[in-house]
Amino acid sequence: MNQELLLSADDLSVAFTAKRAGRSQRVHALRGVTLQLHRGETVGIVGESGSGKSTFARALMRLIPIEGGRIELAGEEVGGMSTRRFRKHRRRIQMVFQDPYSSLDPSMRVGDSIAEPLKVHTGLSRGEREERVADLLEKVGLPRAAAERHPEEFSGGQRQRIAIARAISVEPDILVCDEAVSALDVSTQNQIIALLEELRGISGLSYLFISHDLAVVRHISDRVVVMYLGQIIEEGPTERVYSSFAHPYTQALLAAIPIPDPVAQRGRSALIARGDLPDPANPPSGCAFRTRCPFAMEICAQQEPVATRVEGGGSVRCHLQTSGPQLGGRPLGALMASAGDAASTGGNEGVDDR
Amino acid sequence: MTANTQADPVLDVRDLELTFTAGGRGLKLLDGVSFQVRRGETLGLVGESGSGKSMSALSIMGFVGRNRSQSLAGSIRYQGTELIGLPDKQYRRLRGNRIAMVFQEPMTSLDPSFTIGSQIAEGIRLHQGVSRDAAMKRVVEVLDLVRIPSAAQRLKSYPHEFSGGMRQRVLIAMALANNPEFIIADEPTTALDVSIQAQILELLKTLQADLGLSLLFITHNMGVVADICDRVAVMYAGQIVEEGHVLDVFREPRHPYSERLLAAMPRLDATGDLQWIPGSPPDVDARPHGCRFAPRCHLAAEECAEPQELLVIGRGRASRCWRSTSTLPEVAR
Repeated sequence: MNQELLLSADDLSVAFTAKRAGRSQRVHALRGVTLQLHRGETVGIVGESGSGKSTFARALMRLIPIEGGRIELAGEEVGGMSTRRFRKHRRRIQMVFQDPYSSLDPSMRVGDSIAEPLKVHTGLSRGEREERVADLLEKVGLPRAAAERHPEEFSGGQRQRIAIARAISVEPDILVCDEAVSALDVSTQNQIIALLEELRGISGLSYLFISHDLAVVRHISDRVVVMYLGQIIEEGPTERVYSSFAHPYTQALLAAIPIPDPVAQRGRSALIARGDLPDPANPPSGCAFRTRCPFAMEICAQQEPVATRVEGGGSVRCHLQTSGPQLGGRPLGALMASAGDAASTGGNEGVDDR
Repeated sequence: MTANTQADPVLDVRDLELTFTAGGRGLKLLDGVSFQVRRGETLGLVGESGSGKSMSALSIMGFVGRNRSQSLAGSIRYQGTELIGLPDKQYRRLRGNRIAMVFQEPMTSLDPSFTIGSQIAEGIRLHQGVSRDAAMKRVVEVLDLVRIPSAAQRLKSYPHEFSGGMRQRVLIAMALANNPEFIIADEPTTALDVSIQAQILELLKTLQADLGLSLLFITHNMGVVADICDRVAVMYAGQIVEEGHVLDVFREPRHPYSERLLAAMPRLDATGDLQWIPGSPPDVDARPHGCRFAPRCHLAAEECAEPQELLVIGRGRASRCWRSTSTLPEVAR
């Protein structure tokens, strides 16, 4: 892989003011997020609703104001740039959204929708734009004639292809896919992922692939970032994160995905993260995950864990890891392995072993 | 007819045909759908969007097929009572009482302007004719049942004060309020995060075991089917194409559509090539005369030009494909 650094976010923070019961409250939606994306690379961002993954994407796109930290796009600081000055950089980073039904203007011909960014960012003539649109449609697996039709005439998967054609029309370096396949049926979802992989091969695109679906992310990503309550709690090479996760939250997320094999699924010990995501306006002291963590210790409430390097690549924020690989004289691996039973009996969920 | 007849089914759906008429044209949304749900079992109804899963559920609940532009033919017997043609008044007595339904979207199924307590109590008073106090007592019971912490204190809370997972628990409580024998759950975990989905699936399994409920569980997620269902019926383009015990169907799917659908599931444990079914399901008004899956099927042959019957291929197993009487051929891909 080419090591050219395309995008880097350094200690990025975003805060909103929210009205709660008549009072204004500061909600820290993103807390000190650091991430790098290289050319041709796909970084998957996973986490549940409220984890801050979409806020992160929007901050990178400069769609919402950032409170602190830096964003560098191809070596240039753009985080503090005015919207006006950022406009000429916007071409480099484009986005595909979740809902293919609402992200295209229903009253516009598909060809005009795709050509819109070309009008803004290039000096192409009308004829040149039309030629480009036809090429783009073919690139995403649609007939050239699709340009004349309206979004309603297409299925969800086809609309997502149109949205992708529109996003890549200005030849961006980076495509941010925010739950871009989540609304689609699994077969269609796989077709779109295959298309994204093909485009990456052809044009050297880099992806930030945001999804709550860890199985999909595993397939497409080189590296994975796991977010929880506005922070990155674990990151690393995909293989490492999925096979030797270091954070109990990553473990709980992986354990929560039902696998399409009844024998294997029913034989799994259920490690279920208890309760709900805490209120982001009022995050727990210390480690944000401690209120749901089956391993929570005293220190977890007192100190925020710092990012610690993990063997095999990447880092984790967890006191199980900051105090070394041993805990209470027992190796961490053994502790994690026996976690399933301990967690399910300790949780507030009725667990029926069937 | 399946071989497993040791118990009368709680729900027996036969040759269901749902037709919507618009502009003098009839669109057959469901075509010959038959399935049974036995006491204490969970039947999964799976398929892609538009396959007819939700329409089957809405037909059972009497929400569709009961006016001039929508006709329902066939038979839906619930504990011996025929529901097709049942007068509205009797349907209302059944619905929310002996049959209940849990929907996908917990935010839109609850009225934002009423407290949780009053919304659940309403259904109890309607069906049981009990006092306000007695109804509230039952509300606390069912909120406890679905593991909502400090239930008695949450009666006066509004839906927006609950998280998505908690709202789904409230909906399940609402469905359980009148002690139904049978619950239809239509994608009850689809809008939830995976960790919350796992909690809700555990809850449903526990409730089912404790209360002896029968469940019709509608989902597009084969992982969820593997987790919670005893038997599964796979739908495609308004028909059931395969039915059987979950272990059998997952071990050896006999209809090419079920086989491809399973192969398309992204796996956490494997990194092989992604699989998919080419094209997309046919529109309701453009379904092929022969096998409806044939245009997308990698095994399509001459025989597929004829309409396919649902063939019994084993104990409790059926498949709508002439190839299903033997193992599907391996195809190099």
